[in-house]
Amino acid sequence: MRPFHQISLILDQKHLLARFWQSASQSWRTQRARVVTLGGFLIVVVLLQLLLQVALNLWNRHFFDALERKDAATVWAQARLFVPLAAASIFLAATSVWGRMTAQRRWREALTRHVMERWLEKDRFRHLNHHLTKGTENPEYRISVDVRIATDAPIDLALAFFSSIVTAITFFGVLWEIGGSVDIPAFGLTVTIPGYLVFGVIIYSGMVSGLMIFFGHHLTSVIERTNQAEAEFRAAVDAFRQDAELGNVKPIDGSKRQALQLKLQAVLLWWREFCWQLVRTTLVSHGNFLFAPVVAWILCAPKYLNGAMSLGELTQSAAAFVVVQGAFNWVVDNYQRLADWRSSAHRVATLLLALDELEAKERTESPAVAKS
Amino acid sequence: MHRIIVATDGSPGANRAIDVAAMFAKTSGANLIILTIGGNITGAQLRELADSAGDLSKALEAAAKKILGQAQKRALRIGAHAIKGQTGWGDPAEAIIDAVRREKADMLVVGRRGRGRLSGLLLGSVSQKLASLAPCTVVVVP
Repeated sequence: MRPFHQISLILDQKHLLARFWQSASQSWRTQRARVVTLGGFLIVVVLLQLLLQVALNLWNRHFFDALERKDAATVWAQARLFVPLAAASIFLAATSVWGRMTAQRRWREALTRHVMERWLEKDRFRHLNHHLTKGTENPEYRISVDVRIATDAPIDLALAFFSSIVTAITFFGVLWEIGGSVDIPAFGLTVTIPGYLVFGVIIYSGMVSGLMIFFGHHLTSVIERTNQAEAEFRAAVDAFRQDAELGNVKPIDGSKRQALQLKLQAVLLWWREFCWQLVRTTLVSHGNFLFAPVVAWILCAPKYLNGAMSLGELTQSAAAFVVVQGAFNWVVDNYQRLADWRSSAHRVATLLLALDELEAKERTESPAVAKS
Repeated sequence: MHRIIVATDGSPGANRAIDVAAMFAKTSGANLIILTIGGNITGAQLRELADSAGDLSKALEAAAKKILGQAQKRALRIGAHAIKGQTGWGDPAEAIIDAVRREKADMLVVGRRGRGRLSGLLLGSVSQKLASLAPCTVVVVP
């Protein structure tokens, strides 16, 4: 890629995101109390879910310790304890869905109304495509679908990010405390590594993330371009239909059909590329799905085998290892969502900029109206 | 013989097919239709095209035109006269057979190997499909 083209592309994208946030955050300012209440509620739900995750992690330990001791009374007591823990977890999961979707619905409503009203005002929907040539194709789709994606994803992503951070920090503590230190003999000396499971999970997660970045570094741009190609194809089909309705397309109009074929070909090529990117990242993600629990068991096995760790502690540590590793995977797990969000936010921003331009034009054409 | 179709993707194998088809057209006085299937590019080429050109559709169109232009020059040098270029889309074998039917071609000339070596090994090459499915004489140039 040419360096200047790349720089201008990045600056252009920053400009678009800034324009999107300017309108998207408008509803936060006007409904501050409601936003703070709902946001606070969602944070409390995430923290309660974390608390339950810790409780379930401890439950794991006590249950397996009781099994190892063949202590039937404790096994049954733990089995009974699992019911309220599971019920609370299920209740919180359902509550979280309600909270997230309510926040997403309200945000979408505010932004959709804002964009739609500006689009409808002074019949701008009639003039938009005549005044501006690029970035205003398919405004209906941008208003209905892109606004939804652009307001859905940030809430899910932000909550998942917050949850990942607090989960990683909390379970670091579990790994440090339960895993303890390990002695490694080297060159006649014994090297003691404190909290070795913490270092283990950091190294393992670093390797997985590194592999994912190596295999999937094109993924976000490919998803964005696939979405863009889809939008352009949709716009081309729509324009073709409108032209045909106006009688501008003859039964065999080679150039217009060729234009449709080209747009379709672009969509298919990007989908093929998307498929290969997913194939590559699946190699890493599925490998990680298989390896992460086993790596945790293997790291804990020496301490269990020499009696320094009970079976319950072994299962608790392995579960904590997998939880922390999952938290580290936030970026990797959300690659596709991030890319979808970016492309939708860009399309909404392009429409907003076009409306800005049209409004400015209206003001210069009729200053008296603008003053009033 | 009235019409000959030759398919090209710009590869050396396709160039040899153009040479043979142009020779047939020259000696028989038939019209020569050069057909290329658009969008026949690798993932790396796709990203490069999108980065440099911005509008992928236009870049694909330009790439197809370039292949056709080079092929037409090559056929003209050999001595073919009535040459027409066409771009098809979609699955190469299906698009070529559609063109053969549409143009009522008497002969189809293709190279044995194009660019799709791996997919050719897995799914059978385009020339193999054409040899068994095309409704006209098929010449496969090695």
